[in-house]
Amino acid sequence: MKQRQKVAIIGTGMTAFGDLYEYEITDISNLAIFEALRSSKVSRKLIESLYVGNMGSNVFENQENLGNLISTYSGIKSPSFKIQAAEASGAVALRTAYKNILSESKDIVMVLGVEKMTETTKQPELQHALATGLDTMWETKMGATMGALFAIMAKSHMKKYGTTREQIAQVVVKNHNNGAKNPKAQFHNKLTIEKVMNSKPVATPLNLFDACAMSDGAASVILAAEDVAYSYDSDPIFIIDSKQGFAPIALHQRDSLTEFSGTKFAAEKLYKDHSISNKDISFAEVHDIFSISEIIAIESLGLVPVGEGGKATEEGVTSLDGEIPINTSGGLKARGAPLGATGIAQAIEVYEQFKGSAEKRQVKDINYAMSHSMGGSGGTSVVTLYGRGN
Amino acid sequence: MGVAQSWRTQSSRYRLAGSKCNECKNYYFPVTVVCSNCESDNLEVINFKGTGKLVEWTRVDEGASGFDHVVPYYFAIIQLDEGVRLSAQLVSVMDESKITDGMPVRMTFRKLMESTREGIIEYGFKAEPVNPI
Repeated sequence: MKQRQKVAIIGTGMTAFGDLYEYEITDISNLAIFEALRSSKVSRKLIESLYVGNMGSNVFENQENLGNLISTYSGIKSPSFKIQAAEASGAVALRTAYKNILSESKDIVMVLGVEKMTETTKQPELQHALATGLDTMWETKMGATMGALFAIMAKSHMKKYGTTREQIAQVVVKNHNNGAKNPKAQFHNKLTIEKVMNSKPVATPLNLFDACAMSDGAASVILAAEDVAYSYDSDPIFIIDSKQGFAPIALHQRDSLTEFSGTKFAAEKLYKDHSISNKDISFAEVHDIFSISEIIAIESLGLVPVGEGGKATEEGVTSLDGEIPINTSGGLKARGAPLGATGIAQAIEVYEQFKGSAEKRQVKDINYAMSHSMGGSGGTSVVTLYGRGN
Repeated sequence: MGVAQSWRTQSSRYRLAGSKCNECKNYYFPVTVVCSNCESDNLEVINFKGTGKLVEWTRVDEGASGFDHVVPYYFAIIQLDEGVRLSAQLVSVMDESKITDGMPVRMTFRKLMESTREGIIEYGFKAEPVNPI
């Protein structure tokens, strides 16, 4: 048997992201799961494994054993389990599923990313939940928050490369512009640089609108082995490869405050292993958990020169009609960031762009696409490469 | 922090105890049982001198869980003279505009927070400027 090289996405399903107070975590999971099954015409019985990406069900709703819970309420009785890698949970679940198919142990599997954050309404509880992705003993106890750590990266980047506060805010403006074109996005309102900079301070120089909001949502994809995929889709969209990179969990343990070394490692390996360059990437979904995160991410991914992420954003290089559109979905910022669901939502945006169904945010002439997700302040990075057959 | 964790980490929180690898001479904070550089378990516990410099800082207006009553506060990354970096609050700052990059700091023993799950009052280190600002 020929060794499997690629894995196709043959079905997708996703709820709108936002405050979904009327639904249980099992409800939103089912909405995504059944939409994915319908869109692929795959029968539930053919799902050989269910991978659930979720960060904080333990903190948000006192629920673990999430694989079993989702299986029970969805009727997908395959082996199932939760994968937790902080905000990268969905992306790590997708990568694990992809790797399992390549190892030839599976033909068709399902990946679900889900998070129900609005079960927690108190700000300190939310801070606590998000802080579990950091080094809780030696960062959080010392006063670190996600906002503080990204603020430190922002200050370092501004000093080292001359990145301006306005350029950082422009990331938010751009992503809200894109989100306004996405029916499933949490936010459809437009923002200005002034509104971002005048919003409530979080940690200097970052403000409330530089950060993602609390969000509920579920997103699901069905993956199939290359040889199986063509029975479901004559023009499948493939995950060509997915790499995971490492950096120490605490920001203070890292050599650089202005790059995501795990992201850089994963992206460089992708380019090398597939003999492609950054010029072959037509667009990318990146982890903009804070505005500055997108600037550092596109540099570490090699999509723009190091130090020029802010300038590229200001000049429109990363806009929908720019040279390399970034976060056409609106990103974590505007599409919404239900933590464990974001990695899958990124894959769905990539899929829709390839299929030409992204409507007002459609990118033209797509060659390859990339998605990038991180856990914590950047300790865990996953970079995934997508393309068509041949 | 649980009772056992609080007890176990006292030396690092109270006296800046860390580890020095006797094989590759790498320093670690906090105390560790194995060298992640050379995989040796031949490490000795040392106390860092507690002086260093400010690498980067931010004023936190939306605080971490348990810190919401002390906002705004300064959160910083410190590099100790031995080369190791750590996270700490920056205290004893009277004038924010006088905080400078690379500013000399020393670690000082302070209360970290009052109430936790186990009802422990937690103490540990914070950083303060060597030259009053």
